[in-house]
Amino acid sequence: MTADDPRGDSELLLAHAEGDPEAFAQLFRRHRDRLWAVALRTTGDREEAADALQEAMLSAHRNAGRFRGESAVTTWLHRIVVNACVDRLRRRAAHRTVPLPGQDTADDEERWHTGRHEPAAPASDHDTAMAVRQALARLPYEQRASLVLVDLEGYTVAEVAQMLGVAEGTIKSRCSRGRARLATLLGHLRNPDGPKFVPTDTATGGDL
Amino acid sequence: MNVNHDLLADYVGGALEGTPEQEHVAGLIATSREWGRAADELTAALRGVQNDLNVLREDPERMPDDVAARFEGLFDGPRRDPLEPRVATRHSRRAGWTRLKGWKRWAAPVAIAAAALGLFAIGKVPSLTAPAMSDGSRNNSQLSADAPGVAPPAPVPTMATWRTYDRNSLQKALASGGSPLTYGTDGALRSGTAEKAPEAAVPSFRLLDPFALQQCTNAVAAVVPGRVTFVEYAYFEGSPAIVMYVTSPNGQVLFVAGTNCGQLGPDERYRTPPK
Repeated sequence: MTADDPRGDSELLLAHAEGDPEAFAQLFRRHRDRLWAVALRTTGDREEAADALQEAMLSAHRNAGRFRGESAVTTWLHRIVVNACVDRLRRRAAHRTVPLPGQDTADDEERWHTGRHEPAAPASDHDTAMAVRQALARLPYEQRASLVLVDLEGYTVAEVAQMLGVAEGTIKSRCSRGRARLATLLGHLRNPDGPKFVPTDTATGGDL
Repeated sequence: MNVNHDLLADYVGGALEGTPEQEHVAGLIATSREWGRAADELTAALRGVQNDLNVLREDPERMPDDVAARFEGLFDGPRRDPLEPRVATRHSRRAGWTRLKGWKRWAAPVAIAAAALGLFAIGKVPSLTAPAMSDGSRNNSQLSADAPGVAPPAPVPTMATWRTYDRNSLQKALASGGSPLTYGTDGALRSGTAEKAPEAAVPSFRLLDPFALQQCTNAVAAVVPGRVTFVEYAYFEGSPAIVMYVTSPNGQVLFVAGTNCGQLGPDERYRTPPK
C-alpha cells in the first residue's frame, strides 16, 4: 500500500476491473521498479525491457478481469512480464535481426544504464553488479529468466515453474546450469571445457 | 573420464534429486578423480556466484525517469469513443523500420492509439495486387507522388476498434457481408450494425505505422490475391492483430495478420474462408 492510496493490490486490481480509471496506474506505480528490474534483468537490454514491460502491462490492464486471486497480484504481474520478455527473446532469437546481448559490441554500461548509479555509489558493488549483469546477459534466456526469478526476485522453484509453465525439475536444471555458467563467466571457475562451455550466442540457448 | 558439466551442474544444484541420475552421478564423483575434482571446484565456485548474485539482488533497479514517463498516462488517459471518426492525416516517416534508440519508435503509434482509441486514418493502403516496393524504403505519400501518370491506389479505410475476435465471430462477420462498417451520407465511416467496441487498452502496435502497414499488405498480397477494402485494428484470440477485408477473385476473404506482419511474411493468424 502507498501513502496516497490505502487499497491493497487485489483491491486495486478489482477496482480497475470494475472501471476505476486510476486504479491500474496506481498499481503499476506501486510496483514499477520491481517489474522493471525483472524485465531489465531478463532481457538484458534496456530497450527490450521497456518494450516488453509495456506490452506486458497493457496485457495485464486488459486481462485484469481474469485474475482469480490464486496468487499474489505481484506474482501475477511478474508472470506476465517475464513471459512477455521470454516471448520477445524467443522471437528475436528466431529472427536474428537485432544483435543479442553478448554478441554485439555495444557499450554494456550504456545498454544497462538506468540512471541508478550515482558517483557516490561504492565502486566495488557497482563493479560487481555490472559484472553480474553482463554475465547474466550471456546466459541462454530461459536460464536467465529462471535465475532472475529464483535468485534475484526470491520466488520459489515451484512458483517459477508455474509462472513459466514448465516442470519444477526444468527450473531447477535451468538454475543449476545457469549458475554453473555464471561461475565460469564471473571467474570463479576455470572454463572446464574451453570455449564450448560458455555460451557466446544466447540465441542458441533456451532449451535448458 | 570426461566430465559432463551440465549433468554435474544439475547434480550439484539439486536438479537430479529423486531421479536415477542422482545415484549415477554420485557414483561417478566417488569413483572418478576428474568428476570428484570438478564437483569440488563447482561447489566452491557456486558460493562465489551466490555472493555475486546477492550483490545484484541488493542493488535495486529503479525505473529510469524517461521510461517511467512513458508509462504515465498510458493506463489512465482520457478515453474517447473508439468509433469516433477522425480526420485523415498523412504521416511523414523515416525510411525503413529500424531499431530506434529512445522512445521514438513508440511515439507515433502510442500517441495515435492513446489519443484516438479508434479510427485514426484513412491512408493510402495499396491494393494487394500492387507490387511490393523494391527498396522497401518509401512511405505512402511517396507512392502516389512519385508515380506520374499512374493512378494512386484507392484509399482504404482503416479503423482501430480493438474489438476481440475469434474464429467464430470472424466467420459470422464474413457471413454477414464482411466489413461491419458503412459510410454515412457525409462520407464518414459509421459503425453500422456492429456492436460498439468496449473500452479496452490500446496496445502498442507496430502496424499502426502506415509504412509498416504497407509492408504488411505487401506481404499479404503474396498469399491472398485481391484488393483490400478495409483494415481493422482489433484483437484476435487475445492478441493485437489486423483484420483485412479482401475482395478476391473467389469472393470476400477475411485475413488476420499478427503483429509481425510484413517483417518475415504476412504473420498469418487466421483466414476465412480457409485457403
